[in-house]
Amino acid sequence: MEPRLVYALYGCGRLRLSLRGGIVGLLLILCASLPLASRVSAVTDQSLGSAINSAYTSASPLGFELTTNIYDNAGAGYMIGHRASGKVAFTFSDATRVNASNHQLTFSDFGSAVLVGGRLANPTVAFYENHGSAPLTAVVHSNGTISIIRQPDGSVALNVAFSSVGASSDYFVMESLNDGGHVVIILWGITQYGTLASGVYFNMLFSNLASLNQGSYVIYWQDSNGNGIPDPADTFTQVFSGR
Amino acid sequence: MSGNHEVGRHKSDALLRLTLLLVLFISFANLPVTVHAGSPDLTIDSIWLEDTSQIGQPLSQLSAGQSFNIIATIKNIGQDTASGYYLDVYYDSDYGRGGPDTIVPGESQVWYVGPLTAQAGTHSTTWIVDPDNQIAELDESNNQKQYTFTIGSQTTTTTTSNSTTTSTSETTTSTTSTTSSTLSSTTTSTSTSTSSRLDLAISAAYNSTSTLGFELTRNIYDNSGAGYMASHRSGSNVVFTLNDATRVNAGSHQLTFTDYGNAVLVGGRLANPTVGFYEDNGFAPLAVVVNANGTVSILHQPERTVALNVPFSSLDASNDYFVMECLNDAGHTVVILYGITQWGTLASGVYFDMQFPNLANLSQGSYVIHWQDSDSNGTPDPADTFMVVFNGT
Repeated sequence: MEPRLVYALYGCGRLRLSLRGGIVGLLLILCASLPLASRVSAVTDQSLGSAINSAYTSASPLGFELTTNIYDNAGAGYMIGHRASGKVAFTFSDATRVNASNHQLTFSDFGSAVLVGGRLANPTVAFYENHGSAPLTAVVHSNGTISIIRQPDGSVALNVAFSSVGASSDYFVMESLNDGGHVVIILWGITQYGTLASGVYFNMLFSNLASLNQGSYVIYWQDSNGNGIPDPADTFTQVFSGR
Repeated sequence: MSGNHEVGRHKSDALLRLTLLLVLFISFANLPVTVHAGSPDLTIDSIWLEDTSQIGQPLSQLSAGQSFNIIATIKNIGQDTASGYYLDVYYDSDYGRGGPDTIVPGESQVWYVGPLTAQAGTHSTTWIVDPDNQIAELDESNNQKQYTFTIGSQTTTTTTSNSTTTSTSETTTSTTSTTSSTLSSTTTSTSTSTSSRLDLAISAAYNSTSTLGFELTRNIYDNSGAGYMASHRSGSNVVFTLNDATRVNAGSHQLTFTDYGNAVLVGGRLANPTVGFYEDNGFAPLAVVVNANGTVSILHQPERTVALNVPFSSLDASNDYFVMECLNDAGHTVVILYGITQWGTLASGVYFDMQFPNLANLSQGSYVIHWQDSDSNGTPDPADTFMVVFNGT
């Protein structure tokens, strides 16, 4: 197990864990056993572009739930900077804004939210995935691959080996859902580089939200100019889109 | 030449080429380290060129088309073994990484990169040992050396190193020319900005019809604040890194302003060498100095008064300082933001976003700001404490 794969799995370079199928499976089981709330709506037909526009132009404050590691938060600035005013940033440890037991958003002082980081870096994302409310969910396999599964039909949007993603190429998810009338936008990469790439891509498309006419996307990012970082000159390829 | 370099190492008793270790360049801002008596002290002892057909023989002349290696000697002049150190090498716009390796006190290790094919013109190679500052050393200021040479009718070389020159260990630059030939200056176009205001500089850069360039570092840590800055530019912009030979001078690291009119630089001098260029040439209002006693100073230029002096050990993921400043490079506005550690650089992005709607608050040319994770949520955010500890021209 290479350390980079650990990053890929957990989105946090500080963790030193081995990729063992049993352990990963146990983590997933634990996540799946989290208590679920009842007010989360099902996946809606609202397009991602419309959801982003709604959240960013709303008079209600826009919440940004970040992770607690600098790696996965690297893309957050691209999303936060586009909200001019009326915004709050917080992490999942904020008991006022995130339910401490199930990690669902409380919307206590914000009307919509942007979640950054994948299910293992951001437990609120896991909550929405486990509850079936997120259009896409990540599943880690003991054979060293990760699948992105479309909900609720369970079809496979992507299946790749961890060893194929990292600092020069990765996949990221952009999606939206509705939680009791609150718009929730989610962006995460398989590794932290993908999460950063999602921020770069978000920034690129912010002036053309109409192009995001589906509810969920899986985008393949490739550092095509070889400069070591995600940037607008790289290649971004849509590999999945759906409601 | 482009692409990746092979970084190898000569053992004293045997020639040994190690596995290529490159692609990902991770150059932190200075991380907090604790230095103890008996610590190792890594330094680049020498850099020279070698004919690939005559291993061990220094080249005095090099012709276009000739195959050569670049050799660097790493020495541990400290009192303890350095385990797991890495070594970064740049050759013009290319780079590579070697290591990890272990070096005992007094030992010298010879590393090389090559074979390379000589091309006419002036070239520069920079070697940095322990680039991520992961090893606590007696002196953190002697880990880098640059070697510049020209391939033409005669090979001329210039070696520049960071060295400690005073008892207070202020980092200065010393230059040694090994031939009577000199290289042309690359710094003549830069002017100082003593009358600039950061608010006006940011406004000018972000509202200009000219393209705004964002020069980022090559690591995710120091770039974590960049999104806050990039997202506020609605007009044309370009993003690039230090190895973009079109937009950054490969030898001096000065900005070229080829296809952009102004620039925002993210990351400190060790993560972003263009910041090092502007600091070393006295054009940045503030400059960072790493001291042998485990502290870092931020000096106001040109009088070199101390704006801040803090131990590295006092900085961590919950507490850091960052710099916001501006300068004028021959009519081009340059805005610089960096933290002492990567946490400060991220905090600078958060603070930039907080201040952007009301730039008039930034009426000075340079700032040092103390960030503290006062809500203890593990990440810089607007609810934290930001305190201006220095402002000046």
